[in-house]
Amino acid sequence: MTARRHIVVAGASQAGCACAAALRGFGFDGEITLLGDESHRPYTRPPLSKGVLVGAEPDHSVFLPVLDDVSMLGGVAAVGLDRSKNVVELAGRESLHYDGLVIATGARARRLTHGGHSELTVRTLDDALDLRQRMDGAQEVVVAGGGFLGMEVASSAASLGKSVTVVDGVSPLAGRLGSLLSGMVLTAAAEHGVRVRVVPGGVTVGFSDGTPDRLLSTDGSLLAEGDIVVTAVGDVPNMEWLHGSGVDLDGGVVVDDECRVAPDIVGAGDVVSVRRADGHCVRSPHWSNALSQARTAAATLLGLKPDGGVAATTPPFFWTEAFGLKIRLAGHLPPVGEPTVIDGSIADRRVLLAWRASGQTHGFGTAAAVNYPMSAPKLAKIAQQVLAH
Amino acid sequence: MEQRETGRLSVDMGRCEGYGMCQQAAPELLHLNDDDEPVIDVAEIPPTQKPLADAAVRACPVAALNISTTSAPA
Repeated sequence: MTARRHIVVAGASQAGCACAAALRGFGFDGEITLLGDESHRPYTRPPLSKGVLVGAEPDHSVFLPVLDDVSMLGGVAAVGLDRSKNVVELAGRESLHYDGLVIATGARARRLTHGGHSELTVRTLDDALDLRQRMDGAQEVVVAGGGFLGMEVASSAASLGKSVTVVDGVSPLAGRLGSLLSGMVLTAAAEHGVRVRVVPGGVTVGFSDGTPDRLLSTDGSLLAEGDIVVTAVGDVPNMEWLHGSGVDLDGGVVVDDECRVAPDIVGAGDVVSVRRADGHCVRSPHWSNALSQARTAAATLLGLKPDGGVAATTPPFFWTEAFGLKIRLAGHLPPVGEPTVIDGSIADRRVLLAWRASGQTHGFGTAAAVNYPMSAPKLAKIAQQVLAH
Repeated sequence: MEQRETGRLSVDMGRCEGYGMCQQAAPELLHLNDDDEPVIDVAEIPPTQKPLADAAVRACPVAALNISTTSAPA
């Protein structure tokens, strides 16, 4: 750790900020420049589809604490990387020299259409504020995509008194939560008046005067229409700026289990794809992964031994909140088979559940707490212990 | 040289939902009690621990933690 080293953190969301903080936490005393392409100062995304969308949370509650001793370069996108010169190329500005680089450029909302029309998504703070305003004047809301985000948006819209239809190619959340938990969410959604349409095959968005207001199947037939359509069909890693840089890209920026990309370059958060022991690269864009990867990446960049790395030794943690169900999960998704009820009851919708690990030897199963207050560490412990039973 | 600023770490129990991610981020500064409620062990954050406190604040999914910044007493 020499005094004048300069670390550039490309990406100023959860992973980038956490990495900058971790670098300082590990004692790095050189310069840090945090690069973000949004004009807002760094903020946290989970409330965007919930409290911010319904207006229950003040907008400023999403902003992250200001990092001391970090130069923030906002509204500036990284557009290229020249590893031979150790520089990050910036849009409309002079290139930035680095001694160490953290790639944390995250992901953006995937869209269903190409071209000029703009779909409504919930990825950025501006997206959420725009959607909130559009919801004001809307009565019928169509949500394309029944994943975590889509169901959260549907729940928020229903709580605002909107008539909501969710359209997906598969049964919402089944692939993530398994049949039991996704069934609980769908039952609760129906009780809130939300219609769910499962339509195999691709969908696309139709527009009237620039406003997305209907979903069409690939053969052009109308699937659903409303005042607005919200697109919540996953995300795409922001890695185009690395094309031609020689950085390995495979569904994301490829990192090893210590978050290393190349000498002097590490990666963390939604943009990365972790190469597993079997050679496959897996992108798992989740909050708790972003935080643990950020810490690991910071340690690796400083030549410290990361504590455990991001090899799957601790069960990942997830949560979602929709239709009066607060669901927290630790371990593998989706859980497979029949769970054990540890406490509470499924009928009461207040329950603590555990599933054994299936097939592969993961070292842990899955634990879920539904409307059951339990911390992430305790839930992770249950997911780990379930094997022993 | 000017006195470095320090901060006071606090938890808003009205917002806290007991995720416990703060404890994972900064076990040196706080712990969870048996009811999964965070208990702040080091409230007055020394400058060297500020990154850790920031990490705890950032790790909270419901933004229940705060650092109020005050000038260090002379």
